[in-house]
Amino acid sequence: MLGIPEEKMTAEIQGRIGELYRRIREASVPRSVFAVFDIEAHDAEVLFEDSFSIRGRDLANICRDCKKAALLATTLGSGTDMLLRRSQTEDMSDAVILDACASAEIERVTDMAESEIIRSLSPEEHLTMRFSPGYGDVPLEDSKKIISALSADRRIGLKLTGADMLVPMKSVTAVIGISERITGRNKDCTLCFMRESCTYKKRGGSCGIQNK
Amino acid sequence: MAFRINEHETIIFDGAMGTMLQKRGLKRGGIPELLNLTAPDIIRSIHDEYFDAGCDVVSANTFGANRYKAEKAGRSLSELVSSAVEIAKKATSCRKGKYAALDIGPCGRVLQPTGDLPFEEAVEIFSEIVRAGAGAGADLILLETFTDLYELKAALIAVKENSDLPVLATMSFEENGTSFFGATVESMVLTLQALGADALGVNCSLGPRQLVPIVERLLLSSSIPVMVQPNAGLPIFENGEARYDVTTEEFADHIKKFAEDGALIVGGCCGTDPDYMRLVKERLKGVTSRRHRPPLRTGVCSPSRSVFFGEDTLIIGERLNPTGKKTLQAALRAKDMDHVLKEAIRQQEQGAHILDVNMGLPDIDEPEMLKKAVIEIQSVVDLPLQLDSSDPNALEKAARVYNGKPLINSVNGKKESLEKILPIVKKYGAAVLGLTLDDEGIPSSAEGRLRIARNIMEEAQKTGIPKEDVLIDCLVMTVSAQQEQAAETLRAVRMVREELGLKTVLGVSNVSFGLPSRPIINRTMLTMALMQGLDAPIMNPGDEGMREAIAAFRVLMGKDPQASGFIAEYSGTDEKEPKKTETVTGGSFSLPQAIKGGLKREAEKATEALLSKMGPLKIIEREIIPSLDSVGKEYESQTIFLPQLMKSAEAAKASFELLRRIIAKEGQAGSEVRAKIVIATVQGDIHDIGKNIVKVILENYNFRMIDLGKDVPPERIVEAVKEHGAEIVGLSALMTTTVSSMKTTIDLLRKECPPVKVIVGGAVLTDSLAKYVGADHYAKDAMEAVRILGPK
Repeated sequence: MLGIPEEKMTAEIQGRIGELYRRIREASVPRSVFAVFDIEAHDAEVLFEDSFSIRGRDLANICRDCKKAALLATTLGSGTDMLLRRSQTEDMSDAVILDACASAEIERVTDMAESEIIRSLSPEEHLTMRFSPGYGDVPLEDSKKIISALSADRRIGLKLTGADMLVPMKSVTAVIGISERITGRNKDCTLCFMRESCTYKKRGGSCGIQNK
Repeated sequence: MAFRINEHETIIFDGAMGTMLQKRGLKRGGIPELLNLTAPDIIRSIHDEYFDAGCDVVSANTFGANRYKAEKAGRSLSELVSSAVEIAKKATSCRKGKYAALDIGPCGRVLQPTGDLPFEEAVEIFSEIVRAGAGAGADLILLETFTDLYELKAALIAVKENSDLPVLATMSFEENGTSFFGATVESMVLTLQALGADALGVNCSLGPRQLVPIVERLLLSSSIPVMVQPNAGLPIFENGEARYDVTTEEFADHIKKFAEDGALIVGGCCGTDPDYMRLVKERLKGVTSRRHRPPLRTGVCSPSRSVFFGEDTLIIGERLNPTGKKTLQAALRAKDMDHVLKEAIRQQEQGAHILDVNMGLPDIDEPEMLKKAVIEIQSVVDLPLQLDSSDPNALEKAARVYNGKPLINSVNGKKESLEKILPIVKKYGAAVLGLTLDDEGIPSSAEGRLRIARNIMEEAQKTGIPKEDVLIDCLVMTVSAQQEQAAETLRAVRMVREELGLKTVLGVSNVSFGLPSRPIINRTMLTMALMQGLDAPIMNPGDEGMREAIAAFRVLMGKDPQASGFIAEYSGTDEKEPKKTETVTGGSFSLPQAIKGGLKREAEKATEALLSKMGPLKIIEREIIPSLDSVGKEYESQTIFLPQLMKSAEAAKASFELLRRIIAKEGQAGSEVRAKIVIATVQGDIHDIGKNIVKVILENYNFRMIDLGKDVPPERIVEAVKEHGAEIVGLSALMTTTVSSMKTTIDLLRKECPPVKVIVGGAVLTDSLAKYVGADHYAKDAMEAVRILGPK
C-alpha cells in the first residue's frame, strides 16, 4: 500500500488509511457492466463478433485459444473524483492516501465484477488474465470500443476525454479471454506501462495486482 | 400548426429507435445516423409504424449525431441531421396533427472540470446540431438522456441561441434519484425551469416501476409540464444482447398512472416498440390529469444541492470577497486559486448554505477571474453560489458557465442596472438579488425602499423572470452614522415580505461600523431582522455570535424540532475551554519538530513564537528549509514514505502561509522568492495529483509556483512563462499517450522561451523518455526536483 513495505508501516498511517478508505467507500457509487462476446484471435488483434476489434499482439496471444471473451467496465462514479479534487486543495497528505485508496477500491470492484463473470461461466470455462487498454500494446483509444459495445456511457456513466482517458477517473475497462484451459492469470510486469519506473519492481517485487 | 403543449391532452411520443434498428439488423457498434443517408426507407418505416400506433410526435434519427460521430461516419453533420429531420417531416406531412422532433443526446465527452471539454465548445457542438435540425424544419427539440446537468445546460443555451422552437429536456436518473454525475431531480427542475425549457422530465435508465418515485418528485417540484419516457423495464443481458423485462400491458398501465398523476408528455425509451405505444394510446383514452401544478418556489442550486428560501434561515457566506482582505488580494493578483478554494471549503464546513463570490479588484480582469473562480469552486464545493459583481460583463460570463441555478448579486432600481442585469438573469436561468436603491440613492424610509423593491419586481416580471426569482436586500446602514436607519431597514424587510411576498437577504455586519464591541450589535441586529422575516443573512459563517443568534432563533421559532440541532451544537459548552483545537499535548514544539511530526497547528504556533526573534525570510531559510531537507533525506532513504513526507510538507506550508500573510501585510512582496516556476499537467492528461505533490513541496522551498492545472495546452504554458517571467517549467504526464504532448510543449517552449529550463516527471517517465521529449531534467519525485533546482 502506498509503496510502503510491510515492516515500515506505522500504526498511525495504518489508522489514517482505514479512516480515509471509509471516506472513499462513502463517496463512491461502484457500478459495473460486462458482456460476453464471440471472438476470433488474429495476429495482432482480437475480432469481436465480426463487428469491431481490439488491437494488441499481447492480447491476441493471450486469447489465442479462446472462442469467447468478456468485455468489462467498472467505475467508482463522479463523487470520488470530487472528493479527490477537494482533498488536493485541502491537504495533500490526505490526498495521496485517498488517491491510493480509490485505486485499491476500483481494483476491488473490478475483481468483484470479474467474479460475477466467472459465476456466469460453465465449469469448463476459465478466464485468462485481465487486459486493459494502455497495458501491453493495446492502445488506450480502444477503450472507446469497449465503452460503446457495452453502452457503458449510458449504463454506468463512463466516458472518455479527447485523449482517451476514462472519466470518472477511477474506472477500468478490460478484456478478459474465456478459455477452455487454465492459463496464468498473473499480471506480467514486462507488459506493464509502468515497467521502467515501477518502484516495486526495482525492489525486486511487484505491485501484487492479480497476483492472488 | 405549430407544436404546442396543451394542459388537457396527453402528448404521446414514440418509443425506441435503436431497438427498432437492431430488429432490422443494425449491428452493435454501427452508426445509426448513417442510415438516414444509406437507408432512409428503413427510418421512414419506423416513424410510420409509431404514427400508426397512435403516437403524436416522432423523434428524428439524430440522437447521437454530433461532430465526432459525423467525423467517424465520414459525412458532414448537417447532412446527417437534416436528412433525418426531412424523413421525419415527410412522415408527418401525410398525417394531421403529427410532429417531428429534433432529437439531441449527450455528446459523449465530459465537460471541464471533471473532463476536458470546455463549456463553450460544448455549446458550439450543440449549436451546430440545432442549426441543422431547425433549418431542416423540425417542429420541436428534444434534449434527452443527459446525465450531466452541466452538459444539458450547454445544450439548452445552444437551443435558445439558435432557434425559437419549443424545447423539452429530460435526464436519466438512477434509482436513488440522482444522475451518474450527481444531479438531483430538484436541481434539474430548478435549473431547467429557469433556463426556459417548455417541459422537463426523465427518460431511459430504468423501467416504469423504478421510475415511480422519481416521477413523484418531478411532479411535486416542477411548475412546468413533466415528461416521462421509461425503458421497457430493466435490461437482461443474454449473449451480449439486451432484453427488457416489462410487458406491453404493464408498461401501458404504468404510463396511464403517470398521466393521471399529471405527466403531460409520455413515450418510451430502450426496448419499447410500436406495440408498447399502441397499448399506451389505448389506455390513455379519456384519461385526464388530477394534478395541480405546484407554485414556483424561490430556490437556487448546484447540481447536487438545492436550497429554498423561506423554510429555514439560510446563511450566505461572505468571505470570498477581496475587499479589505490583503492575503486574498495578493492571491488573486498572483492568479492563485488555492486560497479561494480553501476559504470556500472552510465556509461550507462552518455551515454556510450559499457562498457569495466576489472577485472585484481594480487591477485584475474581473470577468475572467469571476468565471474562473466559479468553475474552480464548483469543482470542489457543492454549495450553490451567489455571483457578486457590479460589472454586468463579469456577471454574464460567470452566470453562463455556472453549473445549476445561481443567485445574481445584484440589480438595483436604476434604469441602467435593470436594463443590463435582468436580461442576463433571464437568459442564464438565475435568481436575482435586488438592492433598494435607485438614481436618487437609498430612500431613508421603509416605504421608499418598498417602492423600489416593487419596481424591481415588476421590471423583472416584464423581462419574463417570475417574482419568485427576485429577492430583495433592504440595505443595512451604519447605525453610528444614521441611527434611525436600522429601524427603517427592519421595517422594510417586513413590508417587502408582507406586501410583495418576496424573499429577503441582508448583509448585516455593516450596521456596527464605528462602534466598539461590534459583535454585540451585529448579532442583535441579526436576531431583530430574523424576527421581521429575513430569509438569508449574508455573513461570516465563522462568526460565533451570529451563529449562536441563528441557533437560538431557530429553537425559539420552532424551526429546530426538539432543539436537537441546538443541543448537538451547544451541549457541554459551558465548561469547555475558549476554543476547540486539534491540540493533543500541553508541551510545545520547535518548528523543526512540528514539521518533522507533520503537526500543522503546532507549526503555526512555533512560527508565531519565532517571529519575535527573527524575520519571516530568516525563518524560511534557517528553520523551514533545513527541516524539510532532513525529512526529504529520510524519504529518499525510505525511512519514511509519501504520506509522511506530505504531512510534513503540509505542516511546513501552514507555517509558510502564516509568514506570507505577514510578508503581504508588511508589503515586502514576493520579490524574495527563489525562482518562479510554471507547473502544469500537459494537454490531454487529466491526472494531476503528481503535479500537486511537487507543487506543495517546491512551495515550501520558497519557489513561487504558478499552477496552470491539468490538461493544459502548450500555448497556455508559453503564455504563462512570458507573463510571469518564469525561469523554470515543470511538466507532468501520467500516460504514455500524453508523453507526446509533453514533447510538443517543450518544442514550443524552446522556440518561444529559449532560456527556460524544463523539468519533467510522471508515472511512465524515465531518463531516456525525458531525453526524447527534450527536457533539461527528469525528476522521479518531488525531492529530486528540489535537488535539481539546487540547495539553498
